[in-house]
Amino acid sequence: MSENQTRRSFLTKGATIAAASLTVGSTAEASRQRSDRKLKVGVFGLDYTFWGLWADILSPEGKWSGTSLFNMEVSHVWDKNTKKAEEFAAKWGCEVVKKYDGMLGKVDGVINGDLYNVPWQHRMLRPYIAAGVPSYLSRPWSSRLRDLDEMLDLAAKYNTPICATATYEHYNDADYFKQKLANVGEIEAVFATCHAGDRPHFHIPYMMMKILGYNVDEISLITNDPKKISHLQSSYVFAESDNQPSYVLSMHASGSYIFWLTIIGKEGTETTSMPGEASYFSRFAPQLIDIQKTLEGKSYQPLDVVRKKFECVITEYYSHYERGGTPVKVGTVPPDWQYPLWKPDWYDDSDFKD
Amino acid sequence: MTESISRRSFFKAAVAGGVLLAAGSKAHAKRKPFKRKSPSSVEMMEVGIITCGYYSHIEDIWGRFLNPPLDEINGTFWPRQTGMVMTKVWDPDREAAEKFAKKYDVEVVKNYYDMVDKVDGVIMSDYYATGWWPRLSKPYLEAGMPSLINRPFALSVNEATEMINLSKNNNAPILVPSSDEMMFETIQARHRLDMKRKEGAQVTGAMAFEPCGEYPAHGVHSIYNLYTILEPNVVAAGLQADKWWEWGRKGGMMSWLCKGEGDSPDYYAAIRMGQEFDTNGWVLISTTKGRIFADNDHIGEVFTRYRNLFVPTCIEFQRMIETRKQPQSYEHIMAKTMTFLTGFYSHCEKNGALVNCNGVPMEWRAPEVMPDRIPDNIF
Repeated sequence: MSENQTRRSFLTKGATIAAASLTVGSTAEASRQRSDRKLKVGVFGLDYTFWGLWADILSPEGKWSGTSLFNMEVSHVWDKNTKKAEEFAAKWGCEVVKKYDGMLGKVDGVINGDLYNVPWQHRMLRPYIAAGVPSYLSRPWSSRLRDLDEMLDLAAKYNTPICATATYEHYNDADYFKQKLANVGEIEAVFATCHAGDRPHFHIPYMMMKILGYNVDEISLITNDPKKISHLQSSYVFAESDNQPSYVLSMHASGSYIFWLTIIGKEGTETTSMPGEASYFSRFAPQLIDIQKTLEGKSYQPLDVVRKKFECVITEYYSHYERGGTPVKVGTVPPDWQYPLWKPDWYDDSDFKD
Repeated sequence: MTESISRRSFFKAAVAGGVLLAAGSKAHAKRKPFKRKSPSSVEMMEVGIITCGYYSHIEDIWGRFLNPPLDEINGTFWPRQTGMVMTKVWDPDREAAEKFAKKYDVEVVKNYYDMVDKVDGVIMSDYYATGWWPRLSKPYLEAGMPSLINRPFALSVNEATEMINLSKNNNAPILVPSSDEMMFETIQARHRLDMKRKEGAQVTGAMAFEPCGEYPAHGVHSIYNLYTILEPNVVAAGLQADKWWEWGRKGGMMSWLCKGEGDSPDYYAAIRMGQEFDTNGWVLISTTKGRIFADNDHIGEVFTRYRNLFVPTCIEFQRMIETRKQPQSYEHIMAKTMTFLTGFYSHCEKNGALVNCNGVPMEWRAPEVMPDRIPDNIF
């Protein structure tokens, strides 16, 4: 891609080209035609993972068995640790595949639920995205902008539905609260907190951007340690826009709420929250519903929104690790800069064939 | 991130370090301390004003409470609301002093020290004169006179220490206020936090929003306000802003790293300093036993708004003159000043990074808006 091409223009062009380029062997096309069977889901990532919760919600053997709400079933699983994959398969009634691309042609979509494998996600999911198989990308979606761009370019080229989200983006509040902005008038300040033990679990920025928009100009992150938070403060400076001066979204990892937010405006204040006692079902089911929609053929968000979200993530890390917590302009982090990995040796080249 | 040295231990050392006066040298004002004769007697405390001409709190706001005009101001009548009356004023700008004197019917004095023993207390008012407070306040503190030294108090740690030591050694009570600190909402928030702390609650985070157009004259209100509610052990502070004066719509973002209480971890306080004419002041404190919220809308009818926001400071000063007891300890005054200076240092010298409070050089001086406000030849 030419350095001068904007991200946005490339994605639009790619999507147009790829409208009819689904590869042979994918079951994605079949799923889009609405069958009378459940969508078959391929599982990636069994370590620092959501799969313990998700499988429970989706499976007849789980706590919420019998629900007809979901049209997905866990059908296949791959993990580098075969024993772990076999244990998962035994518990949830699915089939182990021997290689990471072994689910091609067997599933309607793949869902990566892990944190540790995110730096290699672009390699793991490459064959699936290139085959048009709907894919869920585990947050924070990448460890380098270049790797995320590779996935998004592929998705645009092959018109592959993608869902790349954090749980909080799917809460009801993230949808309806945007309408409440009209009550506060010109925004003066925004504050939010969420309970998080590490930065990847600090989901509130994504929810807030869904409410406020993605027009983030600068970001700073101060914390004792993004991997084991004792205290964390993230500040997003929103650029000036139509009739709305610049303002700061200030977020803390703290407190007993799942999330809490307040928007202060010239004409009023609006607040919402989710208590810490909220059930796992109400916390995680909304995202699974939206992932299901993706597996049925509809990307959850435009690809440029996915990119902007990750740009904010990588800017936070860059502010903390490279700039002592001082503000960094979004869009200025070098595409090859990578934040320190949780498990740098988790995978290597021998695990993938490219 | 710099080490988390306890700010409190540093403050104790800094305040104690300057006690150098010879034994037996505690001075007292020749004028007798103010004392009312009886509950029904009508004597007023006489107050002298030091600076009144530029960015002046006394000229624009407090003056009307002490020497209320006879006519309405923009349709609002201002009755007397304190037991004090201004009687004298000094400003190096003679024209400004005379204009003030005419407005409030007070006497202009020739020299800044001419009010020693002539009034019951002095108010050092104008923000632009902050860099000269140590010199302007010296004769009054040495005379043991109650003094209101307006925020942000000092532009360096050395200067803050100098004034505190003079005050302490001469038994001259000082009030270093932000209007916000004395508001009902702030007092209530502090009370509710105290109640929670008695139940074993520990603070885990704080957020605040303050309408203001710049850092040192109005952003400082949010610092004093939050500090007074929390009384935290501020380990480090940082100010992120494009500029510290007239910062426009983007405003500023101040962060404090505070030592955790009890077995709670260290926590952050985030203060969003907005733009001028924003309307809602707001504080949220998170604790292990729930949240405390204080909201002060800067909107509504001017008389009621001013009564809540500005009159309490005047009453506290009046109370200090009469009792000679400071409403805030020297440690409190120094701590909030240090937090302010650390933010300033962070912005000017460290690009907004968090700076350990005891990493600010004692002699480092914050910049001034009007470096020639007070000419040297008046000293």
